Amino acid sequence: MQNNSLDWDQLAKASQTGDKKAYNQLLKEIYPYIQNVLYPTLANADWVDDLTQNILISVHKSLNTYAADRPFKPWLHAIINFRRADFLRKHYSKKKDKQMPYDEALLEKQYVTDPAHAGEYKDIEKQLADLPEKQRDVFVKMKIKGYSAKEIAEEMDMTESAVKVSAHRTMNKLKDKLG
Amino acid sequence: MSSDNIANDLIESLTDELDSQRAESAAHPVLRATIWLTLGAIYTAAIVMVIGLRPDLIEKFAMTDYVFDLSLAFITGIGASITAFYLCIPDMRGKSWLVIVPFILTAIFTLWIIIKVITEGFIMPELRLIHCLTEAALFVAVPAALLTFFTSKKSATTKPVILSIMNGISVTALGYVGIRMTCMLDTAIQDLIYHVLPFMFCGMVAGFIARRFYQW
Repeated sequence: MQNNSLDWDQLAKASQTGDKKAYNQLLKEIYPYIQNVLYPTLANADWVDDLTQNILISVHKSLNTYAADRPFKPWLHAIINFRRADFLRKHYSKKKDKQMPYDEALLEKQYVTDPAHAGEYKDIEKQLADLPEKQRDVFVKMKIKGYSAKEIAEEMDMTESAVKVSAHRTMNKLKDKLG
Repeated sequence: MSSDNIANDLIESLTDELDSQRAESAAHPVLRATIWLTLGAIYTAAIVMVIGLRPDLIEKFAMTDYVFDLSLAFITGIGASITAFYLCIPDMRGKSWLVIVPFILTAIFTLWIIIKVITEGFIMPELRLIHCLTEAALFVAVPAALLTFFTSKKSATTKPVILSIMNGISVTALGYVGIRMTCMLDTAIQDLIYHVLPFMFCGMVAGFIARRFYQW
């Protein structure tokens, strides 16, 4: 663990100079670490993957704030704790909107025990229609029509990585809205 | 698509993005705070010159309580500014204890005002929109916008509320120093109503609005 910490310090420092290989290695190494930190602290294991990916994006956005003369782990943990608190705050504030009247017992039972029925109460197409056109097109082509990222990139004059990140972010946005 | 594939795709995408987005380390927070304080001081001095120095300023500088008042506000402003720029970093570079310093200084300043009110006697002045309130807006508007800009660029705060408060304290302190050099209302209660509360109110509103700028 001590060696990992030193490696991550050096990988992060190299990443700040634009070293893609070091950055790729850093992200691959911290991914399972973030998951291990989150698993014992979240009630639902399904949340771990989503939150880990959000934390990875946060690390990417804030890499310029890492001080190369300081250890990487405390910096990473600050981001993990922040995103986890943010996630749980949003999750529990949304749950307040989903209070069902107690006399509708059958409806409540379906909602509580069968999460798949949640989709029946939401309009997925309406949520897609609310997205910006380009973002919607990328998502529909990739996730519904089955185009590859390369095909979409060529058709829409984007880079492959931009297509993948756009689809991933749209997925998270829809998950937030649809519950 | 399995979660492992999604994760690998995301990692590859982020790695590709690093090419165009060089994550060069931002400047040290003390340096950034120094730049902000220098610009803020220059602006405040300019506004003071435009409004005009109070005619009894030299006599006031010979008075201990006046100098203490200004010094305390100035130090509070410096402390809050430095803390604000440290707050722009997720782990505050290991200096999370800095957060308590501006709060302690603000508490001392508040206590000082309360002591002055008690010793001078609480006589409520007639409330009217006097020049102090309009000048307070002049002193605070540009520094608040500037500080919000500086603390939202190359920033990734994990404490947006505290950052907003620090910005409010910093701008309030700077503006207070400025207005005490132009306005001759010196009793404690006048000081509180016309020189402190307007800045606090503006700082709170600006801080509340500025929170959205700190999302990342």
